[in-house]
Amino acid sequence: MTITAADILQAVDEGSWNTDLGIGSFTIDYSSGHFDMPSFRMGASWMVVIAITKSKKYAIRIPKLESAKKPHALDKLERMGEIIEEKNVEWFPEFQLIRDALSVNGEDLPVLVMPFVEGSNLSQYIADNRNEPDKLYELIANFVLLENELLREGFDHGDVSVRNILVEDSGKLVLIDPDALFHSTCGVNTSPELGCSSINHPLRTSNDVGPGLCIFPIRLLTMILHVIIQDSSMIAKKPDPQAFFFDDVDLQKPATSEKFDQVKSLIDAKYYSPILSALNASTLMAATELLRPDIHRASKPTVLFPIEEMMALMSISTIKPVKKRRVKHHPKMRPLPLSEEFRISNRNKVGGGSEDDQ
Amino acid sequence: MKITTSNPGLVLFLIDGSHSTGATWGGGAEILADSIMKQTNQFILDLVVNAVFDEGELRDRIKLSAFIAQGGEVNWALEVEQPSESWLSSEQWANSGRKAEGSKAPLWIEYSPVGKTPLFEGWSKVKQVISNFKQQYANSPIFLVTLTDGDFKELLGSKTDAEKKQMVEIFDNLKAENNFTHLVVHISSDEQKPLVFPSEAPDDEFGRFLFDISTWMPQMAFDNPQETKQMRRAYVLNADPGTLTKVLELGSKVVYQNPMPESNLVFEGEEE
Repeated sequence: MTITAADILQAVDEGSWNTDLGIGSFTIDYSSGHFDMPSFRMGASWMVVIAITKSKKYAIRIPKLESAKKPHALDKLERMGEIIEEKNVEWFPEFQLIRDALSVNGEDLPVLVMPFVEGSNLSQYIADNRNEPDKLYELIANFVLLENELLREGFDHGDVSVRNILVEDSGKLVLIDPDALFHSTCGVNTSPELGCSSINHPLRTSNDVGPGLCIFPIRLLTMILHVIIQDSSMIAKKPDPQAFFFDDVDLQKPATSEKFDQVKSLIDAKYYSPILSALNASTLMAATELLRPDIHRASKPTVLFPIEEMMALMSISTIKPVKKRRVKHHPKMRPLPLSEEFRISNRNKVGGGSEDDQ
Repeated sequence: MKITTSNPGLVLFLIDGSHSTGATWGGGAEILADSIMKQTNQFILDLVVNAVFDEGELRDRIKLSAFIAQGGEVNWALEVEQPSESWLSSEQWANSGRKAEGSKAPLWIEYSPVGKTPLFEGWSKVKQVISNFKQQYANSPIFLVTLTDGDFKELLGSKTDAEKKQMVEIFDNLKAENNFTHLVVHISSDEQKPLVFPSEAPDDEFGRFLFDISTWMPQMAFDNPQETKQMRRAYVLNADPGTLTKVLELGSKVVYQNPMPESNLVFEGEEE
């Protein structure tokens, strides 16, 4: 029997949990629910409900599509959870996969438990601050930081969109949606989703697995921010996150897009020309290389030190090698030695280019 | 093109509310009309959850219209009064479902079976609604669901060849435009083997007529790659209760789901 989102909400409403979620006793948030259903947020493959404990709120992600429940997809998520924990990054909340946690129509579904990020969704944050250029410039600066931090640590994100970025009070950007998160030590050969079509490159296919899936959307959002700084009326008071600024046809046919004509009349060519060139590129990888020529160098595998520093350390016998924190891996996953991380990273670089050239 | 507040989709239901839908499934306890109402209301709830209710707010991404063809008339089927354009905004329809004891989904559509099945008049009616909608939203997707238990005699028996041909042409014209899907669900209480999403038309005139007025099923509806290997018609003949449920679940997915890559997620070096 197919499980619908409404079935999942009903199971959450009935408290059909099979196991301890590791967060103590909790209640489910109903504050913005509809028809007496729990509050929820819908993603492409997963839906999210909110659990409230005495001290904290958690986002509970539940898969709604068959593809999201497949063992290898869950293995990958488990591995990504370990990597996020190990790296202790600030731009993504830690999360834990709990298998067979929720019983829905006789089927046991896994859930992902992650701390609830208190922040505004990017779409509404931009709309609310459309007349505050300082805040929008701060966002632009934070996007630069986010892109660099992602790549420097060997990460990538396949669904950067206004729905998947939260803005904390400090202006810091936090990404969510773990199933779109990639890392150079956890390679995949197809992408499980194509991301939001009104913010991703129209030529993106499931064979595009990076590096640099995050770059086109981040640069597009940056350009949009420059436009709004010049003319705040370009954004609605309550924009639809599905088509926050452009729609998918604007990106497919920029030459005939009225929206792009408006963009060109409002901002300097240095902000929109790279995007238009990227949209005219023959593949996503070619577009990414146009926007970030150093992408293959910037997207480094995750190592404790750059290779030069590692070599220097090894040559100084008095300094003991730094002990890498041991992470508990899923039985099916094997921890990668450093050399293999490099090998996979290099293979990704070669593979990414050749796949896009097809 | 996906549905957004500036590019809203139109979902239309044309439901056969004739006397014969008061029959029970294979002599069991549940009547056809109850199953039709239950699954149609579930379809609408799926639209609320998956497409309209987002980030804590109702977004006007889907306009809804529904008609019941019964007796000699084609009547507006929703609780909210029929507006002049014959479709409701998301805010109007999403909030109008009635919570009822024992029903998983709120009730948007309720009717009692009576009279004959004026489906031809129903299709003419929805064609007019679609034309009006197109004038306002030229590029928006339109999804029509026809639900009927009518047989050859009831639906086509009194129609001339010219009338039948004209109706097929009406749908051919609609199909020629982008973004139009017509899901035809023919149900039968006789426990005949259902024909589900066929690639080719059945041999008999009745089956072929319904095939001809349906459109191809968008491939995004199918999770199973085996089902996407060839084009399949958005058409079911002789649906039983299980088939009715499954088909309408897939139908709602076509409205709200964005295209997904067909291939599965595979680790490097891992064999599928």
